[in-house]
Amino acid sequence: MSIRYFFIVVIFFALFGDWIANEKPFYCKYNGINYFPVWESPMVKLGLKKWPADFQNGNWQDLNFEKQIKTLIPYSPETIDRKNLGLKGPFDHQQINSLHDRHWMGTDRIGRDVLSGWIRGFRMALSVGFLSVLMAGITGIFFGGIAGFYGNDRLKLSLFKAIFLVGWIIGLFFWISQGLATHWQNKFIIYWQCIWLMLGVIGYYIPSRSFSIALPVDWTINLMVQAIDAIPSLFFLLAFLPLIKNPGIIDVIILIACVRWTGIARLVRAEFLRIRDLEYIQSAKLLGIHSFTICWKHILPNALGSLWITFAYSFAGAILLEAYLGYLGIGMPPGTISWGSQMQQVRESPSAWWLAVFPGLAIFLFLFSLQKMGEKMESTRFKI
Amino acid sequence: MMLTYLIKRISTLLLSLWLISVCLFFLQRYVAGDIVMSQNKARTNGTFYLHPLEAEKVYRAEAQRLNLQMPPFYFSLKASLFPDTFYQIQYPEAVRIQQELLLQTGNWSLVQSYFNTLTTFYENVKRINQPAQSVFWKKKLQEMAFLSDLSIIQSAMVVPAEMSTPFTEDYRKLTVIVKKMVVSKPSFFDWIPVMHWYGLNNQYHAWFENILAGDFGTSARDGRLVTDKLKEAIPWTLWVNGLAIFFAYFFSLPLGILMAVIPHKSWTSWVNNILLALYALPAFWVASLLLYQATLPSYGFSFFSISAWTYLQQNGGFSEQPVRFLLQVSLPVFCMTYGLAAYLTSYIQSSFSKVLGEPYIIYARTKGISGFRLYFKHVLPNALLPQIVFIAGIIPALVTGSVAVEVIFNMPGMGRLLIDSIHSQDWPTVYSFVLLIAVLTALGLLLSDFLLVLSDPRIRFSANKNEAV
Repeated sequence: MSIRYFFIVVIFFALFGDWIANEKPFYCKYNGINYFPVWESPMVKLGLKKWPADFQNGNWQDLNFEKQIKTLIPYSPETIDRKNLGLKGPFDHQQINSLHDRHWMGTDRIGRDVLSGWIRGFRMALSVGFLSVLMAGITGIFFGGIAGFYGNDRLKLSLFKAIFLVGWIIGLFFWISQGLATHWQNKFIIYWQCIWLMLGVIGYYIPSRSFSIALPVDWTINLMVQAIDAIPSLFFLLAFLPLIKNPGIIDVIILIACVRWTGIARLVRAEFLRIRDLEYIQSAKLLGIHSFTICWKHILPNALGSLWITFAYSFAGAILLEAYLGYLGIGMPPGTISWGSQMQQVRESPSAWWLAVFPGLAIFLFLFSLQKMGEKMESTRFKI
Repeated sequence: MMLTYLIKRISTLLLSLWLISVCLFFLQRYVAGDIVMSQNKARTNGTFYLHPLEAEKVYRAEAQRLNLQMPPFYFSLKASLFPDTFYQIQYPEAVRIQQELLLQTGNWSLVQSYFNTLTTFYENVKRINQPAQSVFWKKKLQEMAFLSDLSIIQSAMVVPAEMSTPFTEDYRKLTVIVKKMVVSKPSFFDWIPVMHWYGLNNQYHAWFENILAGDFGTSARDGRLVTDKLKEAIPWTLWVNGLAIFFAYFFSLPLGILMAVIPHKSWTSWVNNILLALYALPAFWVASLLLYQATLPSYGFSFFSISAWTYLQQNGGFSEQPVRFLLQVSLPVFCMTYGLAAYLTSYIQSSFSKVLGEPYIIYARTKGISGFRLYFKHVLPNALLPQIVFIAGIIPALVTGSVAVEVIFNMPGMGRLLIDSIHSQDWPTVYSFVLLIAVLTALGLLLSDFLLVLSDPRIRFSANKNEAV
């Protein structure tokens, strides 16, 4: 029960973090005109609304408003408070005008408010966890489902289709190996793939059951899973991150998904193997239902019960990995604000305990509640 | 059945390891960039720049020295207009220009003769000393060597009549070739991908052979052997991980059994929650908090010194100063133990209570076997069986976990070596390290599978499903 409340708080912080901690005031009166800067800033970014030039490049702290209502924490995560540079702790003396301006969690080395960055961290963690689990889930269900449903000998292709597939794959490999984009290759690849596509379409209408070949999909996917599983996830990330020139958070998310899908695929494969031999699937096959419909509507919902648990654990793992990378200072662009990158600053100045305690506490609570949720799911699953 | 499974399992394992090695080799090649250039920059203080017309010879000699003159892989897949010796062009700028020209003309011999003529022309210009014309042609040819667009080359060929006088022959040759190139176009069949087979004499094969022989290459940063660096680092990681595993089992085995045996009360669920919390507590957070304490001697942590690692290493380590060594190692070991211990406790608890509910245990109870004998002779071996798989998975997990702990406590183990190498862009070390970990992990998984089968007669392999059932 309490975990549910925690997640509500997390989602609230993630969605409305900009409304709680923002250097822009909620409402202000400037040169006789009323503005709602927090509300209006996305519109200004999209070009739907115009602000005076002072707003666009000026420091919001230094503007003289006739009237204003500040947000709860009057700092954005990126705001640099020049009066409180260089690691001011929560209990230290801070150069502030009023209690409302106080940095409740202190400031970091370059004078950014820790609390507002901490709130931004919720959004970061949630989006990293959610997006990477989403991507890993889609990939894992796709490959695991194919491997489990078809096995090594059930995905049969007619000779024409097999030839078409091989040609298509050679074309794709050729294209990738040549660096994906030069004018002439593009033209050639289009010709090439069109030819094989046409062959495939012709092959589809030629009944040739006697020339059918079984594709060893299970073996292939198992090989892939085994190869990726042999590299521990952190090492996988560390090995592949240098490949990207200026890695951003989305690259980290994609790489995390690249490592995490194998666990999901294995589970999905085992579940599909179990379920495909159940009687209701056999009868669905006898009824002539298309195998995609069988997988999507009849097997997957049955397998999903145990999948949710893995999703919860994967979510926790992704958040931990991201924090870990941020802490090691690898793979994140310098300006990124997350719990991990906040904690990273402790390595240079160990006495700034507030930079370690608060983000670490958030990571711990997040991981703990996800683990707890997973455990709860595990214990309730078998009671239903 | 067993043998079929064994052969199948080992062959897929070897294949996947080979795939990983190919992948890592090309990653290393790509990430390291132009090794010849960077090595020479390091040697000549950053001023290694060559003109395409002069570069090829110098560059190729350097590449030969670094063993890069071979083709990169066993085969290449390129459009048939590329010659199979295309990899021999080494200088990146020359490769780019010649490729562009080849794609426009589709005739390799023409492109080659164009560049040869350009080079001989340039040599002649350098040899014959005629002030005005030499300066003009030198500049002109240097410009032309960078051009990759045929129409621009053509327009660059138009020169004032008085300039061509001493080099009439060269100029005529060049004009003819450029005219030919402008006319020439690749046909559709030039674009068909063709596979060239290079055989075993390639860069990947040499690299792989070296690795099989235990030679991981030299570090790009300090020129030391990677093997030596790993040899220095591995003992620390092994010590810390070994101690962590030992203490984790030392605490979790009795606790887990106790938790399984005693009846469920309200406080036991609190203990479970605490265990879960310990498991969720990120080790790198605890480590950095501990380090904050350890830097202040007034808190009583004076036994730990962040700079004592090299001192210990030089003075014999554990065998010479066991107490000092263990105290120094205690903080990292603690950070890595508590999470593992918490996880193991709940794991052992659940597997123990699962075995307790089995019919044969109930039967043993009705036969009147006493508590102690029941628990340690009948339940514990069966409850510990899944741990075989678990230990195999634990080793990569611990190495991963020890990365941050080693970095925080400044311990010169494998994790810190890896992070330092990444920060100093020492890619040979990084990728051979990752390969080593991959091999160890895969072997551990394989070993645990077989140990499980050998130790538990209930588990049998089914060869056709490629898994243990």
